[in-house]
Amino acid sequence: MGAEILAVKRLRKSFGAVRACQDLSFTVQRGVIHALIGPNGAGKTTVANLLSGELRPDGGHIIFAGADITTLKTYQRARIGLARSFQITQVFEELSVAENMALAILANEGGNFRFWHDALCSPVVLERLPLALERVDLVAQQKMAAKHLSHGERRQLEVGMALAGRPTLLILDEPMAGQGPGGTRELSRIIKDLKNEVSILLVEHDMQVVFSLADHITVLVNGACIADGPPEAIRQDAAVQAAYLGRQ
Amino acid sequence: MLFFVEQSLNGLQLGITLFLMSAGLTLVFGIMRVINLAHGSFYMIGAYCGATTMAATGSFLLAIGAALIGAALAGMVVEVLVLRVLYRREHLDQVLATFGLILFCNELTRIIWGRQPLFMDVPPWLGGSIELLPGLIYPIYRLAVIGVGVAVALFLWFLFSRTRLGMQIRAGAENREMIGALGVNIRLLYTLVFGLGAMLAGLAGVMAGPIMAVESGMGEDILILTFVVIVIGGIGSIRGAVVGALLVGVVDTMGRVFLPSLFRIVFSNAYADSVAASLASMAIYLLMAAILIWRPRGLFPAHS
Amino acid sequence: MHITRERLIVYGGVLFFALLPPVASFFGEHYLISLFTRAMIYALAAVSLDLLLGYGKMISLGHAAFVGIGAYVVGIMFFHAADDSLLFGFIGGSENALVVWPAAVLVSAMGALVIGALSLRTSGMHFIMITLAFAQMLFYFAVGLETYGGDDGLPMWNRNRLAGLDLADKLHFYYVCFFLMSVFIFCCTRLVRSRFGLVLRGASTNTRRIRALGVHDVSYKLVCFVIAGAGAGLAGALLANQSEFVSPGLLHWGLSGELMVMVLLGGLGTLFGPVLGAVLFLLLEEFLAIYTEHWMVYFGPVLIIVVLTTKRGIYGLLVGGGGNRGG
Ligand SMILES: Nc1ncnc2c1ncn2[C@@H]1O[C@H](COP(=O)(O)OP(=O)(O)OP(=O)(O)O)[C@@H](O)[C@H]1O
Ligand SMILES: [Mg+2]
Repeated sequence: MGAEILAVKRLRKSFGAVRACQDLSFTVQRGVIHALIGPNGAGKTTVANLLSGELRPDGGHIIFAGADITTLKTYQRARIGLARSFQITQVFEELSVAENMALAILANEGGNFRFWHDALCSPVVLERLPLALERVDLVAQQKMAAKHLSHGERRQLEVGMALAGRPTLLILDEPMAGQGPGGTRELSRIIKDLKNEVSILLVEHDMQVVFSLADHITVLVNGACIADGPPEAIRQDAAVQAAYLGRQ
Repeated sequence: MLFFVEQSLNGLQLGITLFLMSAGLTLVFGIMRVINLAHGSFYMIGAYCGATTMAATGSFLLAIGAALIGAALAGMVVEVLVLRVLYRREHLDQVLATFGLILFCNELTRIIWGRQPLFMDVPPWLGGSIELLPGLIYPIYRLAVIGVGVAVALFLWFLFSRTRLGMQIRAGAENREMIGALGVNIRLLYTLVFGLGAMLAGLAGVMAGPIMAVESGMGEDILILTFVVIVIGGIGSIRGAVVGALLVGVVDTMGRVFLPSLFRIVFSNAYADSVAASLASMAIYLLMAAILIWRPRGLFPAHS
Repeated sequence: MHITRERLIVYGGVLFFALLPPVASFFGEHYLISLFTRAMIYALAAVSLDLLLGYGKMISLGHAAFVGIGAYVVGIMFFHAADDSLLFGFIGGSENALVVWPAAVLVSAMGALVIGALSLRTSGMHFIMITLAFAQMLFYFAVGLETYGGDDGLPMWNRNRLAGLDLADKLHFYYVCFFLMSVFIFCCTRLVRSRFGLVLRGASTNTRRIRALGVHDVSYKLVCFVIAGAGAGLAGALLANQSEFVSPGLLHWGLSGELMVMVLLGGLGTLFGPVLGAVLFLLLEEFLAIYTEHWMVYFGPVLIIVVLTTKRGIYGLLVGGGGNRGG
């Protein structure tokens, strides 16, 4: 166990001829922001899906907090503290913001087969909801249905929900996707604030954002890891520069 | 042994009817992603058109022609007027609207043909029986039904694996994203596929005419069996429809014949008798349950 | 709390049902009492279906199966009580509502557990077809039950006994149904707002998200399916008493379809709407049938048009903005 929260060992996944993840190995230390970067189509989301359990790997192992979770289902992984946000916002569109957040809080609490008392008035929710909303700046919008939120607010809700269950590892799949500069700044602030609470695997393709936030970076190109190290080292890395410059 | 062969043929014949029903419906499900409860109505329309034509002209071939045309027309009209609007709707809306269609069609046939069932005669040239094996006498008409079914299956096989249009349709049914890439007139394709499905149902209906009573609501029982076939075979798969239909046809027939006697051997009291009869009709549903546990998306799941 | 339009409508509805019998009697329209008794029983079944359709987003086309199971439990228990025989060789019959009705609810719930567990292995179109198929299986099973009348059904010579009440009396039976329907709907309104209800609504809106949050969505859906089945079972028990007759028709998918129509006509995901839907459906059936025996030929197209053009049921229209579809 020790300092590692997550270890990925020789993870493989193909879609037909597309090898979206080839023999990928890396480790994430506790209490850091670990970025997974790579150009479009590099396989970042595929890795996130493999880690969260939405995809089954063709081979390899995933060790989370010392336990092999390769065969666990998504919901089982979430229960032991592995939370994620999605690149394409996945919130409960019909429910209000408060309900979305309350649900995220309750989901990991267990004891949800309670049929009588109002969910929004249960003690856990009363205790944690205000903070959870405040953290992602959605207090004013709490009565609105999620589908009526602006794009930026939805992204905030997305991240907030992933956080609400008090995970030990948070996988954020391009949290700034489609955000303007304002939204990016807001989310960067939120993510920085989280650093002491939870380990973060930040999936991003925007290099600038990553360099300002990450403690450690893994670079993915065509499903394979081409570089792994602290930001300064990655910035200097010839292979990384070639991959990014070659594409852009 | 002879009895067994005879029952197998009966099962095959039910399987053929189910295949005709499910081949069209599974394509509609697969390509248009619309749940259509009114498919049984085309079966009924086919049967009524056939029975009426037969009564008026005495010609079985004309009856079949009328059934095919009537059902296909009805199918295309329904597609243009109702189904088209439903493609983008939720399944619940589709269920409800096509339920409304069933109510309408059933009542309309009652208005036109009355509440009394119609009976259709077996045409003289298909009447009588022949001795298939020594001691096994089988009605020619039922053999003819099996023959037509096999011919249609071959035709469909040819259509879907040898012609361009057919291959496009099949690709679309198995992988919906392909349809956009086909570059064909999708509206027209939908109408044609729906019409073809309705026509096959109509054919099944008119061929069932001489075997059972033609009456309002006759489409529902067969519709539910068709659903069982599609659930077993997998949505959108013609191959699944063939295998599912034969399985259901044979298991249903065999279940009805052999389950009660099996049951009587195990439990010998009189009470068992009545339960056995009930259980026999449940055989195919148990088959479906078993396949669900084993393969929730059917034997030949489409890749989507 | 301030009076919203929604509250006004609900209180108005309660008052209407409570006062209907004396008013109907005053005007000598006694048949209205039986008609509305039936409407309330159907409403009970429709509300339970609304839990499935509106809150669990499970499109079950076999809900009548559970109505039928409930009814058959009452009928079969009555049958054995009448001729003093034993069911399965060890269960005695009963006419006591306090025994038979809970039994009906329980057996329906168990049926729902089995059918639900199998059907929930799939979703979407598969689910619709499978629920329909299993319901049809039970229909054929009932048809084959020669001991209990088979195709012809099973008559009951009188209604169940309920301590201190005479269920054969129209008024007594009306108010019993009224009470049970109200209690059931009240429980449902609590349920959908409870922790269970919230998780269920989440599970039905976004499966990916709910799983990523650590919820095994299928178990919540299954529990919802069982609760809905239990509600339908209670409706079946009442229906058996109301008509003093049980037949395979109660399991027929036509009834499932009609219940679905009531839910959508009244207002999907509103719990109160299906009551309106049930009343409207029975009234239409009753009065259109006077004008033409072929009323279905008009009702079918009307149904299609209503589905195609409106997004919300009657309840949504009455309440205004509040009755959003899918609650
Ligand atoms: N379900 C799938 N079926 C087939 N191919 C897929 C599937 N998911 C991903 N791929 C392919 O795998 C490769 C990696 O995709 P992935 O979404 O993981 O990339 P990404 O790094 O997240 O890209 P982006 O920056 O655009 O989000 C791509 O070529 C993609 O087309
Ligand atoms: Mg991605």
